[in-house]
Amino acid sequence: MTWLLVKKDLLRLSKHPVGFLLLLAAPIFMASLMGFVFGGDGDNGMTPHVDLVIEDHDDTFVSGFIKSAFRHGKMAEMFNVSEVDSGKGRALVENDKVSALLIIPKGFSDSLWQKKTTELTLVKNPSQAFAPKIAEETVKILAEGGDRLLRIADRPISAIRAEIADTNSPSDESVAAIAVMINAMMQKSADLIFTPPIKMKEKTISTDEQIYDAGTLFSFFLTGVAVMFLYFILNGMAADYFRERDHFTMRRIIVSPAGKARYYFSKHIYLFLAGLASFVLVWIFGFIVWGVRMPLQLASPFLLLCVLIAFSAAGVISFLYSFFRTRNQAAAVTPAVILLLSMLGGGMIPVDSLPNFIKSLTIYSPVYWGVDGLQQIIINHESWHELTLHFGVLTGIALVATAASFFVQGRKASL
Amino acid sequence: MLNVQNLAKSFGNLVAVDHISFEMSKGEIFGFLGPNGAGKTTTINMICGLLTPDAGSIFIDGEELDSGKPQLRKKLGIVPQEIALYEDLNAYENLAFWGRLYSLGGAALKKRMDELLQIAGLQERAKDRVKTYSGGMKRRLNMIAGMLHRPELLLLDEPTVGIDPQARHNILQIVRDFAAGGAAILYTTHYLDEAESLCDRLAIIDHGRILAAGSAGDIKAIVGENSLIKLNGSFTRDDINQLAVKFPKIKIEAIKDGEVILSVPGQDGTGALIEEIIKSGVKIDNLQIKEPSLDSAFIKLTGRELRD
Repeated sequence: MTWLLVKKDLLRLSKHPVGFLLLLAAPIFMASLMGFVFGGDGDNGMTPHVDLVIEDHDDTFVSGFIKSAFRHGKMAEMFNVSEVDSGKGRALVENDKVSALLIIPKGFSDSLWQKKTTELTLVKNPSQAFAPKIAEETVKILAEGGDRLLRIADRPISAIRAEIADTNSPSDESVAAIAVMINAMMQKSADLIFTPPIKMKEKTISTDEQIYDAGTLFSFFLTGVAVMFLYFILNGMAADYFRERDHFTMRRIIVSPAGKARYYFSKHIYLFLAGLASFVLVWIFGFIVWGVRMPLQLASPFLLLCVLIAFSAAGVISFLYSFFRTRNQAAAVTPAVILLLSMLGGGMIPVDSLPNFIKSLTIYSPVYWGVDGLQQIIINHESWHELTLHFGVLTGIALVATAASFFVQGRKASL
Repeated sequence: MLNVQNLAKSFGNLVAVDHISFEMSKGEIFGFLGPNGAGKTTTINMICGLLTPDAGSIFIDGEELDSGKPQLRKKLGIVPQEIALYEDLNAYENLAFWGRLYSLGGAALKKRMDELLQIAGLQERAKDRVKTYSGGMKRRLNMIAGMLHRPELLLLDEPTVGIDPQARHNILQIVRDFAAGGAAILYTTHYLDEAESLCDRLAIIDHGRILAAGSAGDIKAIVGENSLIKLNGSFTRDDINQLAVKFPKIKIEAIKDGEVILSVPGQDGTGALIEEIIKSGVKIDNLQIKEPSLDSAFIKLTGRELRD
């Protein structure tokens, strides 16, 4: 009999697929937005691409160093650099063929050696929004870095320049003296400009730093958004309590052999199933479209966690709805409660970013146990043992909230 | 079939049902006649288990009704005053759901659905969503949804409210046919003609109390051969009381400033009374003479017309 009631609700839901898809669209939209902003793992990540052309009027070792800076490591992934003949770059910018033109002026290298102010000119494409800005910031960083390097290495550079000016080939003693000077300078400034490899290896990477690592950042935010929107989706679907009451079908069911208890139980099952389906769909979207990854052996705890999150969320929403007498009351209060629970539980803002006095309250939000559990699996790759507490708390919330909602709904005088 | 004893229900200070008792037999159509707020729907809600009575008992086929007996619920069918259907589903889907709720299924359910859709004249639209139906069609579907499982006791709560005469006639015929099949039907209405033509027995209910019960003839006999005269105008109670002294056979049934209902034996004395009233200088705006009828019985019993 209960399943008959649930099937009826699912049949009605199937008659309005657009409405359900619109509810689903919200978390998917938010997840997609984050995917675009932060990028996902692997090839699906949205690394910004900047087409940069360089006019090198200097054509020296130093200008070559600047050009090569755009062609290594992460810079190479971001910049597509090509060199053009003098005077041709501007036309490419004007015709929207490239994001920016970098002009290295003639005498750039000499000016640097003579410690004269010199300029790199960046011509930005006004019709593009982000790429020219990225080029601008990158060139600024390079110029800043070069400036710092020249100031720190002032003495050895002056010595080399003097030696070159006096004799075409410096003596062994001069070379040795300059080498000692460079060595001393390097030791003094090593901590400022270079991170010693050995020190990098020794550095312990904290959890926070790991979370904010490029690929996992998207997964991190998706956990919060997915749980928060699950509550909002269930809030939208729970309005069916009032729809059935307003259309008097609830009364007709209650006076049938199904009775009141089965009616409320079926609504709860319906909320749980619809919520679970929407939650899983959001994650499928995250896995397929945005390349969220987790080890395959964590699939079972992940699925159990999804079930418990949906079960507890259905319980909490049913419990909230059991107190309302009208749809307007529910519409006014429930979103505020969901926002509060999400804020406390890391659904909107990472828990670590919350003020300390609020942090101490996070464990009282059911959202927290869902979001944190998902982060433990997807980001920290924790398994069953480390998630025992999450499973336990979510099960407890689900059972208590469900029982309380049945109790309150059962005592309601007005039908 | 149904035995209601001393049933009472209050909502705060409002007494909705005030210790009423009645009984019904199988195959009988029992009408509950009363204005809005008289206590008809509250009584039905207690019989079907939606409301818990403050006092009294309800017996169906000799068994006391309480929420713990689902087999008793199967004997009951309810057609609420409101359209209690899923408007996003079609007629077939609605009937299949309500039928299965009462343990019907398979070929038997399909046959019953077809039969009732035919009776209600909805077969051609059975696959259309209910929200596309006219008011009368929804009413008919609402009614047959309560009859699917062949209840022994059918509770019909004002099933003809707000529909056109043709649809109303159709619904009344369905009710008659269903009763002819042996079901007991409790029918609430505030349409006098409907109650008189449809019901085997009637109870006039007002302010939660049954004021009279019996056949339409029995209830009309309450007013006897008397006609009722209703006067509206610019007068006081004293004006009327002074006039009434001169006509000892005339009885004041209800009176307030500006309105009086008088009971006059036959037509005797009516002309003289009116003449006297005019002579006295009392200003009369409206005068109605009602022959013995359910309407006049209702006025005599309640001191007001049903539409009041």
